[in-house]
Amino acid sequence: MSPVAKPFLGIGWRPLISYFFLFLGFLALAQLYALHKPILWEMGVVVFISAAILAWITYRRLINPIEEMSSIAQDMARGNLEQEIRIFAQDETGDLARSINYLSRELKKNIDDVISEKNKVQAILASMCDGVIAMDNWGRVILVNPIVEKFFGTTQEASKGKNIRRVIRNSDFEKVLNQFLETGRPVQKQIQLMTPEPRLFRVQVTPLMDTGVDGGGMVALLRDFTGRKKLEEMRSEFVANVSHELRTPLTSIKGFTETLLDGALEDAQTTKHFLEIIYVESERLTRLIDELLNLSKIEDHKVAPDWQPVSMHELMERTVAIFKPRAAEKDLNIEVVLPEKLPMVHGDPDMLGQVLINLIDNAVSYTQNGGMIRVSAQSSGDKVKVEVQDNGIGIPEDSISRVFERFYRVDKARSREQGGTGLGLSIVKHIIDVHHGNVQVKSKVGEGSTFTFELPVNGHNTSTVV
Amino acid sequence: MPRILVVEDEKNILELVRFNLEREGYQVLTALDGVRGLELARTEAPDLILLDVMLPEMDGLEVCLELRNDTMTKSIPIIMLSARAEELDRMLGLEMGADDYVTKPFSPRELSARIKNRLNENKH
Repeated sequence: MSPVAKPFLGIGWRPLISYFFLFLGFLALAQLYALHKPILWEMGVVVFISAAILAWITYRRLINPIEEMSSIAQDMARGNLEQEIRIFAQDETGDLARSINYLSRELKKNIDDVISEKNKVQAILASMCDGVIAMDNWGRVILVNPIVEKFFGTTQEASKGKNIRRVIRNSDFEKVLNQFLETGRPVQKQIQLMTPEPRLFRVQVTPLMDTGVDGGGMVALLRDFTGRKKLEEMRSEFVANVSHELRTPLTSIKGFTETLLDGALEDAQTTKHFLEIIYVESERLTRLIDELLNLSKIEDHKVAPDWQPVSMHELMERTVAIFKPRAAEKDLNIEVVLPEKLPMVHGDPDMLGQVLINLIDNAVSYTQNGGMIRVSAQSSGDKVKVEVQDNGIGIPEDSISRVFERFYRVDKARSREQGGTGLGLSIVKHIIDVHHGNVQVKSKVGEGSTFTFELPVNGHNTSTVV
Repeated sequence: MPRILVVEDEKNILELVRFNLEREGYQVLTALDGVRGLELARTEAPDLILLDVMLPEMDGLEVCLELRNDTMTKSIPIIMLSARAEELDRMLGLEMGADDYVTKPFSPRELSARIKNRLNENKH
């Protein structure tokens, strides 16, 4: 509390002096009367003049300032607290004026405090990502925050005082409110709203204390669940897919083993054939598990990439060399086209090697015997562009947008024959994303496919001569 | 000898089932996708159909529904095969009119037993 303006004690000097002069006047009058014994009308004039002077003094001293104070006080009552009463007299009126000024300053400070508190609460409510609705026990809206305004296309002004059941028309939401009103205990439920757009909310209704509202009230907290639900669905779909992918090779392994144990072992030829299948399927299972682990490591950022300047030139030559024998088997012509100078890229050599392996492996797998594969790179601005092109079977138009999805296969049977896991391109996409690059595919059925990816050049590293 | 149609896109599993069923003495017809499976079911009128759920072209549940809506194929027993073991799939398989359901990985012996049961039930 600021110190109270010091009250003026006693009577000011001005009234004392004016009373003193008044007293002198009367004294003079009494003396005059004693000396001249004036006639009555003369007396009347003198008394009248004295009275007039007294009246004027009173008016100046009291009535004028009080009128001024009264008008300013009324102005203050209307909310204008910026002004002050400009009376500095060292007397009772001045004292009163100072007290009124003090009152108005204190009032203004308190009001400012209240407004700033209110603004703070408003700002907190506005920045919440959950919807907040405060209601009285009849469901009349006391307050809604901007999230509620956004979700339900309403405004604080439009909904205030209205019954919430008319603002949010949803029977599930109404049930939650009714359940709360019946039991008086906090209620939590998941509800789905179809309008204005389909959304999933987790609603929590709790009692509202000390509202100053008769019979208390309630607060509903609405947490938007739509995105999380989608994530959960994707997750469970992924788990189901993984389970399916694991069960398929297991079915062959288990089934053929049991078949062999059940007597098929007697025929050497059949036994060998079945064992081969078991072997191939167990290889597939191993590869699948490896790739799943790989993918999850990259996705969860569990392995930090081993960042360093990488020469794509060297990496491409080395990777293509791995595929030479397989390409020769299929009579594929595989060529590497590189410019004289290629800037180093910023990346993890093992990860980028994996990208090239997956892309070239696909090219080799999906190009007919005698076909052509061209692996090239060029620098464009601050990026290095790498292309793996083939003249193989190509990808149907409606599949192009899906090839980077996990477990998506253009031709399931064919992918199986090639030992594919359905994860290769998904891994490519993830690695390129981690490298802040981008990957694209162009393809036409019967004409071939071209996979292109771009990687940022390593800092301001100078070009390397190769 | 009863004729069994096997609709399965995994070649190895198809071979596994075929080998085991032929050893039991059944005559086996095979299809690698849903459309071909439906066609064979209509033209060949097998005694029982083993139907995988995840099939290219037309999935197993659709094939099952089509078979049930066709008076010609309505009464052929259908056993669904699937790697998706979830309860929902099981429900769907049976609501779609399938008679039984086997989850992968399955035991060939158990599959044979189930087929035998279905065929016997159908005789009565």
